[in-house]
Amino acid sequence: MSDKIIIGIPNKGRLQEKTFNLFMKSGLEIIRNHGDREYYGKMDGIDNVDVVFLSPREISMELNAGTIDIGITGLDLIYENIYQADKHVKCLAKLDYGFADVVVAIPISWIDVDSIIDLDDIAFKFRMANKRRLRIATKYPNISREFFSKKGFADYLLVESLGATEGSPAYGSAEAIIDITSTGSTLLANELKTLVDGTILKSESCLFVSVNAKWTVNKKKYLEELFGKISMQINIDKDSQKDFLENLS
Amino acid sequence: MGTKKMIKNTELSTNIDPNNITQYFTDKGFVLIQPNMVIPAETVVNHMGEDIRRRLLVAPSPDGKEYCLRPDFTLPLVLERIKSNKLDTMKYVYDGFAFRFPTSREISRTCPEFRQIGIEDFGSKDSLGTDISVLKNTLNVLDEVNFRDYKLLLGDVSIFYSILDQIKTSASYKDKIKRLFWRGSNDIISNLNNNSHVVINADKSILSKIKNRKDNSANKDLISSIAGFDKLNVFGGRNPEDIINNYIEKKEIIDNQEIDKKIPSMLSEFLSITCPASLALENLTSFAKSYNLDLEQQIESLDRRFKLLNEYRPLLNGVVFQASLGRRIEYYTGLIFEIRSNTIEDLGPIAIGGRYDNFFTDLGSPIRVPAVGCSIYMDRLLMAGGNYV
Repeated sequence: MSDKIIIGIPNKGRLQEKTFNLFMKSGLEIIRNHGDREYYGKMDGIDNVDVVFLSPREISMELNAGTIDIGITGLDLIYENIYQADKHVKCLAKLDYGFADVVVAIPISWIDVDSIIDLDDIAFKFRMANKRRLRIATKYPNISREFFSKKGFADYLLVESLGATEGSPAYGSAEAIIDITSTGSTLLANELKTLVDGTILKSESCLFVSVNAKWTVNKKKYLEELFGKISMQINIDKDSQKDFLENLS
Repeated sequence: MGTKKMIKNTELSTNIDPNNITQYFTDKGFVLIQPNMVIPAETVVNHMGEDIRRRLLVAPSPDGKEYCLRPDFTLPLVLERIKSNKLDTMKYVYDGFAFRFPTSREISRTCPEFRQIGIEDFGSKDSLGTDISVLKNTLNVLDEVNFRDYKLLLGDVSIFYSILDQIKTSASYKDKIKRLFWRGSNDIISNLNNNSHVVINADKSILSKIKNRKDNSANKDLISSIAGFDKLNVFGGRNPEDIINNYIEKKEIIDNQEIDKKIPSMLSEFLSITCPASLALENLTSFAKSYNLDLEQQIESLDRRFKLLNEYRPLLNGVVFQASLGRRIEYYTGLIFEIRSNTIEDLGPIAIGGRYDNFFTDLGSPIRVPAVGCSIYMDRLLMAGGNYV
C-alpha cells in the first residue's frame, strides 16, 4: 500500500477552479502531466501527496470507503451519502465557497402552505383525496427522510430525481421538491418557493479527512506537513485536527 | 451484528412449537395460505407510511419499479383477494417470514426477517362474533404452547373516532388531530396548540380582506387575484379552488382558537386512560359525561366484548383497557388488542390484532369487506416464553 496521502479534488467546474486557486495561494500548484483529462495528479511544492480528480459525490463515497485520505466536497453530499457521517469523516475546515442550501420547495401557487406543518395539512388532504401520497422529487433521499422524520412529517413519497429536479412539479412527476439552491433564481423560474422552516442543510465546500483510511505514522506526518503549508489560506480547526490524529487507530 | 440476544429459529423450546400453532388454526377451519413474498413498494409506502420505508427491504426491478419483501401478511393477502375478486367470507392462517429492519428498540431480533403466524377473518357481518372469536383463538393458541406469562391490552379506536365526530371544530383541525393520533405522538397537546400551521404571515393583507365568510365566491376571486393565479402555471397537482378553500379554512382556525383550546386537553385525558377492564366502563362513562360526549354505543359495545371474554375465561393477569391502543396503524377501525409480556417490559407486543373494516376499500375493493386479524411475533413469543416450563 502506498504510503502517500491521497487527496480527492473536484474533477471539473467552478469547484475545481476554486480549489486549485486555494492551493495555488498556499504555494502548492496542482499539476497534471497529461492535460486536463487526466484523473490523477500531484502537488508541486510538497512530496508524498497524490491528487485524484473525482466528482464531488465520488469524493464523499471514497472518503467513507477510506480509499482517499482527504477530500474537498460539499457537506450536503457527505450527509447524503454517508450513514452517520460524523463517525466516518471529519470536517476540518470550511472553505468559504460552494455555498448552497438544501431546501424544501413547493409551488408558489400554494398560498396556503408556508411551513412544514402547513405542508403536513395539505399532504394529508392530498392523500385522502387521491388515495396516494404527495410526491417529493429529490437527489437527497437520505437527508430528506431524516429531516421529515425529525419534523414528524410522514405523508409523502420520495421520488428519486437525477437532474433538473426543479422542473418536476411543472411537468407533473412530483408535487414538491427538495433540492439545493444558492440564489433561488432557478426555483423562482420554475414557480417554486421555499418553506419558512424548510432549510434542511446549509452546505458549503469543506476539507474532510477520512476516519476509515489507513493512517500510517508517515501519513500522519505528511498530513501535518500539508496542513502546515495550507494553514495561511485555509482556516483549519486545530482542535479537530488534534482530536482526529490522536483518535486514529 | 450487535450484542443483543438474537433468537434463532432453530432454538425453539420444546413447549413452543410453531407447527402446533398453525395446526391449531387449521383444525379450527382456517385455510393455510402463503401470501406473495414480494409486493410493490409503493403500495406499502402509500398504506403504511414513509417511515416504514426505511425499514423495508427494497429492490428495483429492471423496468425501474421498486418492489419489497412483505413487511407483514395482511397487506399482500388483502391485495391478492382484491385482485382475484374474492370478496366473500374466508378465514385464513399464515405462517412465514415478514421483513423489516429492526428499530433500535427491538430486543428480540437483530435480523430483518421475523416469523409471524397469524389469522385473518374476512367478510363476516357478525362483528361481535368475529371480534370475540379472534380473541378467543389467540388466547387458546397461547395455551396450546403453554405460554401464560402475558397480559392482554384492549382498546377500541372507534371511541376515538366518535369523539372526533362530536368535536365542534373545522375539518382541517380534525384532520390534524387524526394525523397526530396515527403518528402516536405523545405530545398531542403541544402539537395541537402549536398554531404555526396558520402562518400566512406574508399574506395578512389577504386575510384581513376576507371579511364576510358567507360571500365565498367574492373571497375566492379576491384571493385568486391577489395570489396572481391567472399568471401561474404550476399548481403541483392541486386544484386552485382547493388551495383557496384551504386558505379560507385556515382563517377559520384562527377565528376558532378560543373554542379549540379545550380540545387538546380533552384528547390527552382520553388517551391517557389505562385501567383494568373492569373499570373501563365507569371511567369512559365519566369521561364522556364531563365533556358532554355521547359514547354510549361505543362503551356498550366494548362492555359486551369484555363480558363475553370474561365469561369465556377470566385471565390470570387480567385485561387492561388502554385508550391509546391502535395509534400508528391507520387501518384499524374498531376493537384492537395486544398481548404483552408480563415480565419483559421492553419487549414489543407478542401479538397484535384488531378490526380493519375499511382496508379492502382503501386498497381498491369495489365493496366493503369487514375484516379482523391477529398476528403473533414468533421471535417475541420465544423470547418471552423460552424459559417457561
